[in-house]
Amino acid sequence: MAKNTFSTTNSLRTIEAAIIEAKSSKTGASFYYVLWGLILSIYFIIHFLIIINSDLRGTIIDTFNWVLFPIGGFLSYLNKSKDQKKETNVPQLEKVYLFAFTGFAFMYAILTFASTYLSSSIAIMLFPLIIGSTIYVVGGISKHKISIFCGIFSMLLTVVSVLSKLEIQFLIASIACISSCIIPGITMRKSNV
Amino acid sequence: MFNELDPLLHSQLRLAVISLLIGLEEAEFVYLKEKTKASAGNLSLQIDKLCLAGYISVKKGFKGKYPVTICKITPKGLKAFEDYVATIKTYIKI
Repeated sequence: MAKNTFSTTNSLRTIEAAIIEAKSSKTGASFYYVLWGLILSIYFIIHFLIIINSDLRGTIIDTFNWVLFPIGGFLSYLNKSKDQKKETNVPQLEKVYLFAFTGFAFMYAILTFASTYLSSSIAIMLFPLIIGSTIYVVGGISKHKISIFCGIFSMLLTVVSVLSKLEIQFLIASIACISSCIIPGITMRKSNV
Repeated sequence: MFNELDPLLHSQLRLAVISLLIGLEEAEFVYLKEKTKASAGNLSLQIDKLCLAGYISVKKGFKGKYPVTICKITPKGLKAFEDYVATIKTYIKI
């Protein structure tokens, strides 16, 4: 590395080696995929159970299911702090994740707002579509094939969701979380995503 | 007739630094040192040259109690790298 001039072939070798090295940097996204996939999946399953079993209404499960979200936030914060201590580079894919999931959050928030005014379950009905499309796009950019297939599967689940009753829509949303977040998250651990 | 290669990039260490930064959002000095296997003094000198040319931006801060230097490629650096690769292609006729 000490030479000041070198051949064009060496130049290309240096560029290639450096790009391969930089590409091998992991984002650590798999942890968040699995964590939030589990949280959302459990949250939707709880709602499904509450609807089909009226005995569960007013119980601790019904009243305190929101607790899952602060727990998820706290675990994410702990993981982020741990990662920041040892991370020495920021892969470009991190920005892709940031924008994609911020977009997803906006879409879901707006749909929830619309559901309140329209008195319908549009947010939960379209949940598989928005999570599926987000995972599909991110999977396409990061070239993670399982994310692409799982994203398509989740988007297709929306067709079933639109034709189903509310309790089934919650169940489908839970399945969408498993296929869009948990499965890609687990498989990401082995790849450079 | 061949175009002249950017002399600032036609150095193994500086090219390695720029090529690493191309694929990353940003990188710490420690990361660049580890990947290029350069000495801290030499790497610091080359980073200063790239920074002076406006090819990379350097931000100094702290990570906990320890000082940290973060490097990031600039649009000018990206353009210079693209031009360098385009020129080199004409040399080897890709």
